[in-house]
Amino acid sequence: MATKVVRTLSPCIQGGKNGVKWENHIGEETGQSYKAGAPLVRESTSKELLEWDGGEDSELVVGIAIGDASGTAGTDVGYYEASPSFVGEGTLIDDTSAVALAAGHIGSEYSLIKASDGNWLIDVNDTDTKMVIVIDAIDAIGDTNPRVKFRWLFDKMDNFGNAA
Amino acid sequence: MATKVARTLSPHIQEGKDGIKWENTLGEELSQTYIAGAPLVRDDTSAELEEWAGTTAATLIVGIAASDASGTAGTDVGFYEATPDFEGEGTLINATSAVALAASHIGSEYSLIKASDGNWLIDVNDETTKMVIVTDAIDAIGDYNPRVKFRWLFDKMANFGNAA
Repeated sequence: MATKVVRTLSPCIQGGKNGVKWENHIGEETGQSYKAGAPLVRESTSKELLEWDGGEDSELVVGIAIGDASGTAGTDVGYYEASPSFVGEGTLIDDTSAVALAAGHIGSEYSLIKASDGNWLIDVNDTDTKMVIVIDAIDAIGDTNPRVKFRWLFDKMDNFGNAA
Repeated sequence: MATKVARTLSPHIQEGKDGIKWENTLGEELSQTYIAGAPLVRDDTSAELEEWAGTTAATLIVGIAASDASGTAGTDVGFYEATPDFEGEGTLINATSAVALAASHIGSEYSLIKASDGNWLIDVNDETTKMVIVTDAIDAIGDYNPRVKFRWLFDKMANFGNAA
């Protein structure tokens, strides 16, 4: 058992050219300061990409940023799209406290939380605003700040939907 | 029309390196004796992979085994993950009786059943515990023990889900 370095979200498996999709028509929303790995959503009016608010925000996720925000509205934004074929990596956290990986985390659905350093983590303390499902371990059971594989929940992906 | 050899489940189309995903952190549940093609689930407690119990078991499917069980707990397990992209091949059976392929089988949803030789088959006699949808024929209409293409039903895949 070990204590791992806390890291932000990243792709584990992703299809496409380098796995990156580009928002190069509408671009980045004004006033953005997110870091690579941040979950991105569309601003309701401009449709530009901005960082997900977290908490109980019900906005659907377009993907995670491949790089830091430019801070300039309209800048091209590269992201790993939230799609059924996307498998991501994330670090587990219990709100703001480190947590050890347990078998019960595998298969469970959680929200995401933004740490004070701007990294986005999988919050095992929040099963209300579910965003992702943990599908597999990367680190060992008992490791603290464990890295795991995740998928976006079907009804949290912005670029997919149901007729009813 | 012909009588085909009843064979176990296998992938038809699958992305990834040789189409195989590896559970190499938690591994195989103890005392497993399944053979390649078996539908796999996670054990409730250990989260290790084990053979689906069949019949009315509500546990969601992680994938189908790429090879036979080792019988040793914690052994790496290769599997073809149950995903929306996955298309499998399976042989139709009517409980324990051979069945001829009918057009009405295409598009229908059925369960799986484990034969006495350990092979897993698509059971047209069980529309209660639906697990898969038959998407296409491989053998001809009227053939016995026909091979068909199938997909996992959305709500039977362990590595996917909805928040609501």
